[in-house]
Amino acid sequence: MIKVAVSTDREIKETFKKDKEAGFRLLYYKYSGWIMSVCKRYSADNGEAMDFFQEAMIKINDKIGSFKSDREGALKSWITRITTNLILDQFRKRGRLLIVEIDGDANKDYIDPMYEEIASIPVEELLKMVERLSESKKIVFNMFAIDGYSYKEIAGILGISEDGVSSTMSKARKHLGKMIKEYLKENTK
Amino acid sequence: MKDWLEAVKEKLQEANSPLPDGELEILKGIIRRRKTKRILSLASALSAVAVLALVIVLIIGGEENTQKYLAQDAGKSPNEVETITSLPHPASFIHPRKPQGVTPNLSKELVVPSKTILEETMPEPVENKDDSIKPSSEKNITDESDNENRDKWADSENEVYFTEKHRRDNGFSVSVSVGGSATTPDNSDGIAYSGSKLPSESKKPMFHKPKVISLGLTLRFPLTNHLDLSSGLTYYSGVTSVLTVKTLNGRESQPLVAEQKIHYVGIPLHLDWYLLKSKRFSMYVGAGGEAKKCVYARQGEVRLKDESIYFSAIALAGLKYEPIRHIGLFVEPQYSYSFLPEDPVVKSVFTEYKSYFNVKVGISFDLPALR
Repeated sequence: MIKVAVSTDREIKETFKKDKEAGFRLLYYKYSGWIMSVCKRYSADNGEAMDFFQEAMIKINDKIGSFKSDREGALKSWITRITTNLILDQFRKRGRLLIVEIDGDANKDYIDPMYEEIASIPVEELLKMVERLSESKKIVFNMFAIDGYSYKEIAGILGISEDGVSSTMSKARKHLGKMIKEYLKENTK
Repeated sequence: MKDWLEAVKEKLQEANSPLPDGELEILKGIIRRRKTKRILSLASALSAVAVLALVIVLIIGGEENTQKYLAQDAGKSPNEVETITSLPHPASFIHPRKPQGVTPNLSKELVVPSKTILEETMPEPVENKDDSIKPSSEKNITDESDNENRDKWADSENEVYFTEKHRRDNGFSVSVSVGGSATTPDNSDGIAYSGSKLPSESKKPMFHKPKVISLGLTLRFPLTNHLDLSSGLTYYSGVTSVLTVKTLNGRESQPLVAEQKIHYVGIPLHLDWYLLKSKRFSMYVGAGGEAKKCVYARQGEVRLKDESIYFSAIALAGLKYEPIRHIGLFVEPQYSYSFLPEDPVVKSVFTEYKSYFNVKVGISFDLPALR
């Protein structure tokens, strides 16, 4: 297995200025896994995630010249925004953002999992649970809970009301919590 | 107590999904191919414009051809005309239909070489079958009274003439225009269908009387007496109604009508050929292309982003009237043939219809000093 030293954001940026291909290689080594995980969180399957990943990498390569910040960590946020915007644009093109789901899966007897319980769940299992959420819940959950969009921003992007976002988020939370509880129940026997 | 969602967020933000071996090389290949494609597209567009310009200059006209035709009118063969290597004889600038005794309004710079030099360097004047055309040596061609006669003649008949003087007069120019447009009507329900979630039978958006206005700034560079190269910046703004359908519990909702606002910026590039040019009026036709980009789009409360650039071929005709020297008013109907994209983010009149008409009216200022 080849081990590659992880570059700082500043090194990646500077290398991009001098040699685009070398800069792209550094960026790939540091962030490709993260970008792929973002794509997987939003996608219906691995094939779709891979398509999004390739498009995102190409877009990041094209636009990195416009990224100015020197703050460590800012590049990751910028890359995440580029990736999520691209995915949402693709969803919009395919008409998948206009879906407002009203279903009756609200579980009144539901109990939230504990903060500490989450630590015992592998990341891959959590990702699989997120992937199993219905499309609208998955989009709202990812945007709000993981990628830091506000309800107002989500409402603007999806073309639904803030109440609609809040309601979908609440259902996503319950659905995911239920899956986590089931997982914990099965794996702590 | 911390919310369990925080723990999920922290975990997922550490996530690194493994990628297949060789993915980096695949990506590099895709990037290289896209770059090559982009360069080729640009080169093709530039080549097409260059070829078009060359074809027009070589086939249709240019000063040399005009000179040849005029000389041929005067009884010389094209081969004989080739032997006139220094300056064209002043007679070639005289309009064949000019009334007898009236000489053209040629400037002194053009008339030099003087009578003496002309006698030494020029071949024998072409023998004109038309008695009305006199060799310059027989008459003082900068006579002021003749200028007046010529202006009157030009005003009264609005004839076509191209002289060195007029080429300089029509130097670099800048124009400002406003325009309105229409597409070929496709439906009559008064609603434009857009968005990507539409009833299956209405996948193609339908526009009915979309209101698009344009504001343009055009720079015009004369290439020859007859030919101008024009380019600039055009801003398009449009408003239309949009019909979208949402899915509720797997069923499509009632259509919701929202307002769609679009703003595009276009860079046109065209060659204009003058069919007629008189002191006050000029008429031209042109052909070229335009690249457009959507700079703003909003559908209801939803902001749409479209990074693509759209191309169209354009054909136009123009009529210009100069009430004051160097200031002209013009009307320019324009036809655009759009190269339609497959699935644009913003569906508009520019991405959904091949045919698009735009009529511009505006004011132009000649800036001969900048030439």
